[in-house]
Amino acid sequence: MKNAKFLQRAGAFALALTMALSLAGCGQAASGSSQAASSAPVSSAAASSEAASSQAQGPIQLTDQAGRQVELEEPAQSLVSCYYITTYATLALGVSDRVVGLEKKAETRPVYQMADPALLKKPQLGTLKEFDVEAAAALEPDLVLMPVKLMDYVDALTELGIPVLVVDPEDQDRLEEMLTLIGQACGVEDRAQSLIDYYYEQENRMAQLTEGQERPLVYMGGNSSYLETATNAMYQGSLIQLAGGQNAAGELEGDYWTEISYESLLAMAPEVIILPSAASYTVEDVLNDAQLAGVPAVEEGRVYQMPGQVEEWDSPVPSGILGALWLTSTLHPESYSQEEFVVDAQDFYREFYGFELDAQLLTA
Amino acid sequence: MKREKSAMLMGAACGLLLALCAVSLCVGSFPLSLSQIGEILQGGLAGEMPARVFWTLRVPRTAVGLLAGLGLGLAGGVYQTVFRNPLASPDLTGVASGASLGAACAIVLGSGGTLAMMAGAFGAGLASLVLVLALVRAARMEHTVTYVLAGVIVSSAADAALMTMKVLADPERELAAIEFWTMGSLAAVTASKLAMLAPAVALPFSLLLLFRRQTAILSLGDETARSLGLEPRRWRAVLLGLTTLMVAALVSVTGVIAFVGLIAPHIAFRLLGRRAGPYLFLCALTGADLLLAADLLARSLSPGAELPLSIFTVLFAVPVLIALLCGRREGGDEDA
Repeated sequence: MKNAKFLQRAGAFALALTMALSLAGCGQAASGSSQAASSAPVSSAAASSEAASSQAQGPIQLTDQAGRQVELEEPAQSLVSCYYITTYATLALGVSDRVVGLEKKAETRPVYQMADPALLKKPQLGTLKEFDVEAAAALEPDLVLMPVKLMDYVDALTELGIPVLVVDPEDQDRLEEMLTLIGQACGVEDRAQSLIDYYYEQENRMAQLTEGQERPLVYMGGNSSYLETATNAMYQGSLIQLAGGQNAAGELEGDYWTEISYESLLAMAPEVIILPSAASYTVEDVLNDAQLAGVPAVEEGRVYQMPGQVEEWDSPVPSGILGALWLTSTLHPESYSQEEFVVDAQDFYREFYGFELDAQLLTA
Repeated sequence: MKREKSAMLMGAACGLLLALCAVSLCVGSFPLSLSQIGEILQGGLAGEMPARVFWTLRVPRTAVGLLAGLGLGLAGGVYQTVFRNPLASPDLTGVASGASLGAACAIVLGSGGTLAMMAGAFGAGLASLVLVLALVRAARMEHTVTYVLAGVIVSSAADAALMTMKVLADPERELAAIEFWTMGSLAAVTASKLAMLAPAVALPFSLLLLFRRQTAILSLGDETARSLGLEPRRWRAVLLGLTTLMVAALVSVTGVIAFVGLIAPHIAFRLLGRRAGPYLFLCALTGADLLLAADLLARSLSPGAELPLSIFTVLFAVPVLIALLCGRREGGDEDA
């Protein structure tokens, strides 16, 4: 009786072990076969399109902004971009025609219609919360540009043999690094470098224009409420600095949007209030708020909204330098006028994005 | 009569499961025709994208859905039997809350990488069980109610800590990741995750099925259990340990999938009429059916989008719970 029970138990245990091992083996075999398979098509692609690449010699090796090693046999000719900032980057680097799939809600970004309307017809694959790996695989891209937020999906793509470049453009330095990486991956490093050179050129120019002038106290409101502001450690903080202003919230600690009270805002007494381009409230809302009547910016009507009819210049986008230029013309109109700014903006978009910007959009 | 009915039910549940698995393998954004799938299953198209998508995405996704459903269903059945409580679910020991906290910590305090999240979720899930057992020992009262209360305490503590993590999290990048993780999804499943998950689930699963006699005896009460030669405290710890191991491993890969462990045992009981015989098997099969059906909806309702799994499992759960409520009013006093 006991023996039979023991045998039964042992047999069942052995069965369980076998089941577990075979399921694990199935998983390993699947990933093993896919890895072996992934190296085959890449080398055949390299052999056939050697003539196409002119700038890159041999395999391209990059370290992306998540510290991962990315290797490409030759510059990527087809891209999937899951993030509006990387799609903007493809426009700025002149490789938007290589984009075969982009992020959802692309029709809400005005610059696509202006710079490359063909983008709006491409399949839309994901948001910043989730990503359709199978649809991306169906497009067979050479490279997927992915924000750090979607890191979960990186393994799924690399196991399919699709290279992924993870980016994290949180501030100006990281933005420039991202542009360099994408430039290298697509074989357009020169273009990326000239864009970055332009940034430095304009930064120096603004420093010279505003030299020795008084720095007005500037308060940058948040997207959802003007009782939310940017600290100095953030991109928006450095934007104010660059444009010859001083962040009214300069003493706040932390590196993210900080909630404050009416009292704090009154105590800061900013001379200028700036609304981000995607603010859910308007300049009128701020001017009409009775509790802000004592703020110098409201008293003098110096409340402005960052133009957003083209791109979101108050966030780390490739054309973010225009946000700094706009802010300079707003804070120091005697040194750098609105008209000069419009001309510079048109020059920028003509040279880097390849389209003629309608001046009306900026002067309205 | 009973035996025939049981056999039929098991057969139907298995058949439904096989059908759902087959459909699950055929549904997805990547265009894979039935003939292509047939070819791939015979080893053809090796190395090409269709085959790669099939073996690294479709098959693991279906397999993990299957494992998750089987595991959660069985865990729910075991808990409802042992604790004689129709609201008992695998989350009784706070495993889901603990695992959510572990994942949130990995996202906010750590690197937020996949491995870190999985390790954090798994470790924290097990830690919540250890805490529950410690609390029960400290209470010195070996009652099923004690376990339930201890579980509530640990869950609440974990939820509060999770709230703190959410406040600390960067709303732009980390908060959305935490929220999406707590809703459950099979979207990011790959073959390597399946390889890690399979032994962690299959082993406790088989052992729990092996121990179904002990589970049934425990449901008769501590005194009866002792008189039949079973040490209730030790066996409760063993059963809880095995289920928590299984559920923590699952949750660390898929995120928190709500209600499957609660509903599957109820459906199984309604169909079978008793909590004996093939009850636990039916719980597992029903759980797998529910989960695969929910996953099919999550994938196909909005083309190109992946909706969280928990939305659909709750959608299935509500009518079942209503039926349970009405059933009790009609004089059904099924549980002690």
